[in-house]
Amino acid sequence: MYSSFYLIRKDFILTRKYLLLLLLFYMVIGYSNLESYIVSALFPSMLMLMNACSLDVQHNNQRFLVSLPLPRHQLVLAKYLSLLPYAAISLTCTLLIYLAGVATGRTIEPIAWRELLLVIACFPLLASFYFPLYYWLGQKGMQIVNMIFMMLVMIGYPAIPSVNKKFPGLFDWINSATTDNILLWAIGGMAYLFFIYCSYLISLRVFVKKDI
Amino acid sequence: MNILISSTSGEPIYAQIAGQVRQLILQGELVSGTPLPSIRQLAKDLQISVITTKRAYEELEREGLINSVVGKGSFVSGADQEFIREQRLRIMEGKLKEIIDESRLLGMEYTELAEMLKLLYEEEKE
Amino acid sequence: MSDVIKLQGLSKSYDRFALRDISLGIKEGYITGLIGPNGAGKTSLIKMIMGMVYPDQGDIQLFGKNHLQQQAANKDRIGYVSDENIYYEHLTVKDMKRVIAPFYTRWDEKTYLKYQEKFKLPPGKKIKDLSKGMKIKFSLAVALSHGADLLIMDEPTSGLDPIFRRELLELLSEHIQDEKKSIVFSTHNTSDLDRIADYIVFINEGRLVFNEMRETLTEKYLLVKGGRELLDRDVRHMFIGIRETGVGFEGLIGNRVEGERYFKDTAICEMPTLEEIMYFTVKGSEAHV
Repeated sequence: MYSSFYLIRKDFILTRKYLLLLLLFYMVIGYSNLESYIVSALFPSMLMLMNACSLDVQHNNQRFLVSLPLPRHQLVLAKYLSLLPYAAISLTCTLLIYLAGVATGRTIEPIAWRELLLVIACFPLLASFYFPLYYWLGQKGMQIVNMIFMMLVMIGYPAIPSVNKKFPGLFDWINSATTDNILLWAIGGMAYLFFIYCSYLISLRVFVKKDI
Repeated sequence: MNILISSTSGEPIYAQIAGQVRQLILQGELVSGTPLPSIRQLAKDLQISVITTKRAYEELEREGLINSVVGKGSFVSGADQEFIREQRLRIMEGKLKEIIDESRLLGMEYTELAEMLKLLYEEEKE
Repeated sequence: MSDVIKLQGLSKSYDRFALRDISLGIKEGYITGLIGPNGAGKTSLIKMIMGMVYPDQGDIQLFGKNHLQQQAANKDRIGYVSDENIYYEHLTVKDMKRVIAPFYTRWDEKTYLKYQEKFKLPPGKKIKDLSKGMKIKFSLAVALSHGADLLIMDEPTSGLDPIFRRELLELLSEHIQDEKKSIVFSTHNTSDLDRIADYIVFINEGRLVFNEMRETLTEKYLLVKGGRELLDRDVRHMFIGIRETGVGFEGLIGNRVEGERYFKDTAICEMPTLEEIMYFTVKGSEAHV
């Protein structure tokens, strides 16, 4: 357990400088008053994750990781657990921007909690597609995979209005659905976690016996 | 105590070490009970392998010149004067044999050699 | 004397190369040199011991424990010096150390600082800006600071100046003073580190040629130099490898006594160097292909 903490800490030491860039990004978003949760909450998380992942496979760095006194599954587990701090950072920054908007009087609408949480929840889902590919392709395929995933996020952003047009009830439902249908939420939640777990198992299978 | 290893002499390194320590003991420079450097320390100082120094010490042990105590290291043995004298005589014999071989190569007769030895012996005395 | 590393029937196939059925023991408390030409399989073997590559077949034991199951605990006791830089290049020496330290149960910061000073490692410099020698020194400092019982070094001296090589010899003999620590290093250049090696493991074309005590190794072989008229079909068979020129031949014989009996009066008989043993063995195996 400690080792996961230190592995995630390692990712933050590695990406320290890029985190400053992220701060700049949020300042721009805050200034431009762009109210898209995908841009403010999903995009940065994904960026942080991909950055840390590509640094691990550059040069011979994976050999360093494998030389550490850890079982290999710890390396994979720590990567999945690192989704939590990334999501937390994005969430916090988005909320801060919102609060700043309220304080300066530029934002008057209430925050769309459900939409925001849904976007945040999309992040582990996206990462669950990303990780098995990452472990499978290693250094060689990384660049391409990173580009594809970045494009997915970018396409996702303008796609939302068109989704809204096609399924006019969807967003209303997201924002208004009551907790009445608890069963539905529970099943959805279980399926969600199960999906992430499956992704973890696939990543393990790919990575644990891989030649580095 | 000095031990100097030559890498060009052709003589195996373990034999060089054993020879030099033997020399120091027989000349009385290392007296009974003197501790020798540990095998690993000597290997480190001479930048050679541990097993090479071990082999040298083992040879000296076989000759009865040193004793090794587990956990304490190696010491010059308490061999008595008689024993050491015997060893020295054996070394002398060896050297004399070398001289005899040399004289044969030069075609010297025994009487010539004995004459030469006598001359040198008396010269040294004076 | 127990074995710190024990390999049993280790095999691994790659596209154009294979390690075949390697079984050997590395003695605890000694320095072992792993030699062989480039591409012989030295790095692959080390990677297998480090758990970077999985064998197709065979068994690895480290410190008497099954390595494939106890890797994490075993690696806590291993210091690894790679032939290439494995550290994050854009980190400073200090940050890299901060990343590494918490993973080792026996990390000793004081020892690290001692070596940082001794090696003149600049804490604020980025890994990528260090010279090759400095990079090796950094990985050595790391390895020595977590009290490694087994030091595994892949080509630690290639591309380094003779002054550092000498320093390294000193460090390594210092490291094994307590009789418990062991060192394995690989090299394709037999002339530098092999003088402090106690055992020599020789690998050629993915196979183990021998695993012998350095001290008596060269005494088992015989180097014969003589005129080419001495070589007939049967005589050639006695040699591991032969080099023929216009003015005679040189050849290596595996059985010293037999060789001396045969060539004593007709040719020059010498004790070969390690390099000569390696050269003629490789040459001989090429000739048989």
